[in-house]
Amino acid sequence: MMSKSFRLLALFSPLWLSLAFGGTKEEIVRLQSDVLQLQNQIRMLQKTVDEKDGMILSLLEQVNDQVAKGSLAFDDMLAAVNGAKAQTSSLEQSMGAVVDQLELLSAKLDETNSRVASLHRKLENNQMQVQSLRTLPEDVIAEVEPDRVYSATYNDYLMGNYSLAVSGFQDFLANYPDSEYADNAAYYLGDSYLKQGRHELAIQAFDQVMNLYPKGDKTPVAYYKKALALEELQRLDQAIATLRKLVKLHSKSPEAELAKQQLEKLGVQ
Amino acid sequence: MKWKLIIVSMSCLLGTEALAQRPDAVIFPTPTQTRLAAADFTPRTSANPETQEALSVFNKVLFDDLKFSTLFVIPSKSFYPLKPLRTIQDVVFESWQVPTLDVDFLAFGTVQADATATVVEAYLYDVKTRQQVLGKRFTISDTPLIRRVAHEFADQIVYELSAGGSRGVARTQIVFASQRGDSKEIWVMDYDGFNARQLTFNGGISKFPEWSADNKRFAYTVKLPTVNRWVLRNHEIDGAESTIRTDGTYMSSPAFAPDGRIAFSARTSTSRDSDIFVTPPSASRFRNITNHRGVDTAPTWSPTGTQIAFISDRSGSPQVWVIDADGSNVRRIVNEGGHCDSPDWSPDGRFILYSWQAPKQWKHDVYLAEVATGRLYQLTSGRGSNESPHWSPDGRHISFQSTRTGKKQIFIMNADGKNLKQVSAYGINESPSWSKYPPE
Repeated sequence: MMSKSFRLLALFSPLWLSLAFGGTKEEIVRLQSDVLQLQNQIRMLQKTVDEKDGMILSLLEQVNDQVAKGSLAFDDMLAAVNGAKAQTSSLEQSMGAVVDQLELLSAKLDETNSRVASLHRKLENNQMQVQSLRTLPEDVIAEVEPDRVYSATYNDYLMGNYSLAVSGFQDFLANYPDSEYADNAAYYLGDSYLKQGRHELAIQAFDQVMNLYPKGDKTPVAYYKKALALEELQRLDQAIATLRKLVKLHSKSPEAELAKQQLEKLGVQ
Repeated sequence: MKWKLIIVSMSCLLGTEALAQRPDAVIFPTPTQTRLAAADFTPRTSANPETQEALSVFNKVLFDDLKFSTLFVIPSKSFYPLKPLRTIQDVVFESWQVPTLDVDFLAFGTVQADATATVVEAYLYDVKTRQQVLGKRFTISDTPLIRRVAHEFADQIVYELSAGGSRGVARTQIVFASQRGDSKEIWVMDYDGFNARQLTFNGGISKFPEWSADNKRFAYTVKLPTVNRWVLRNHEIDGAESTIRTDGTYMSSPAFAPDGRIAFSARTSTSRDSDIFVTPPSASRFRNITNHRGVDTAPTWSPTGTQIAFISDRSGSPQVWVIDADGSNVRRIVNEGGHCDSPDWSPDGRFILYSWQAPKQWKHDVYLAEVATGRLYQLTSGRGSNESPHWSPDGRHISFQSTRTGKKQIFIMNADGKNLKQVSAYGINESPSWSKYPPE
């Protein structure tokens, strides 16, 4: 910057010489004024240069600060990278274990897939069987279904699963009230209650048999079992009346013979 | 209620059209698809003559037991890999999963016999998971016991792979009446016909043997040469016997309830004709539970002992009837005319086996009646008369007597009528009664 100021002074020095030895007073004054202006401009230029220098210095300082900060950050990053490298090594070990587990899982998945495939085959077979059932004529299905339901429920009764039998016979009577097995279902519902010791419910069920199917083949035994339930409840008068009614209405049934034996046991005829 | 009767198949015999349902679809509603291979067991160390003999017996018995169980699909041994299997290291699982085999489970092991003992090491592996399911070591001092070891391992496989649904019948026995001279005595044999041996030596006519529910005794009726009456005898496994008599001259067809009560048919001084009686165990009090005009015979208990099925001619011809154990609720299960005999109630309660001689026919065949609905299914046909059917304890098999090969002999088959096998050959043999499961 200083060398630039000297170059300007050198530029104007011949003018000074010519004025000193050959110019007028006005010209000298004008020249002095010009010199003053030039000096002012030089000062202003110097000031501007100084300001720019300051700005450049400031910028340089800022850059230096940034570099320093960057360096610190770089150090931190370097440390972080080194730390990360250590972690990566540990992760690699963990990954190895994970890969092993994945392989195990993969093997198990294969096995599961195999089993699923097997189950799928079985399911397809079952579906084919269901399909073949569905392809039966509708009248056949309509005829078979109540039979199967009754058969399964009766088997529950026969095997002593009386809770299942009760709900099964109730459902059967609700769904197939006109089935040829309806009177049987009503009777076995009562007998299931009787075997559970639910005597009041048994009596109600046996009454249903007598009322709904008075000529059914289960009516005599419904009378007999109702009398047994009444005896259990110590309602002996009603039990005796029921047994007598059985003997009177169904005198040729085997239950009439049992009723007579029971009346004898109770001390009445 | 009207009984709806359906005669299945055998249209040529009965003149009826085959209908939709087959017995196998009813009895085995969920077809098993477990594929099992039973590789030949191999010598453990050396193939000496004792070991070779034990191996040939063991391999045949195990394979036959598993095949008869009806629980598995068992591919032919001709498809098996040739490499002998001694230990798990010898098993190449992939070679048991090729399309011709594709088995789910593999049984293999070793047998080694010497002068003092026979050792069997037996394994069952899940081929898909390659996990061991069973690993057993049996040591026996008597080589002939090798059959029992094979039966036991077969039953263990059946139990494991049926998820406890069956304990297997390989160790069960069949008691039967056999005439091998002037007298007819009670004999017993393994279910496959081996190890037959005589149990009674009374010199009379012994008939209708029937196992108790706990498998510890059986009852039968006998008429001794010097006595003009039939009596019922309780025969304990240790040989001790007790006698039950009525004041009549005829007793037949004893049957044990689960609680030990015995039902039998008899003609007594108070019954006009043969009736069904029930007596508590070890008691001489009888209760007449049928007490009806007409001949009532051949009682069999329902599995819970609440009902009894029997044969009665009260409606004209001998048919299958059921009665509650208190004598009430008698009803007819079979109403086909002809002549029914020898009912036997299935272990699951659903069916009653019986034999039936159709009108104008000379021979019996074995039938199945569904108790709830009265549906009927025919199980035997063809030559000879087939009678006295009896369930195996798992309800998957049936024994019966047949004259299809000449004299009366004992046969066994699947409960759907397939896989027929003759299991007796000497003398005249009848009235087979399949034992319950052996004690655990």
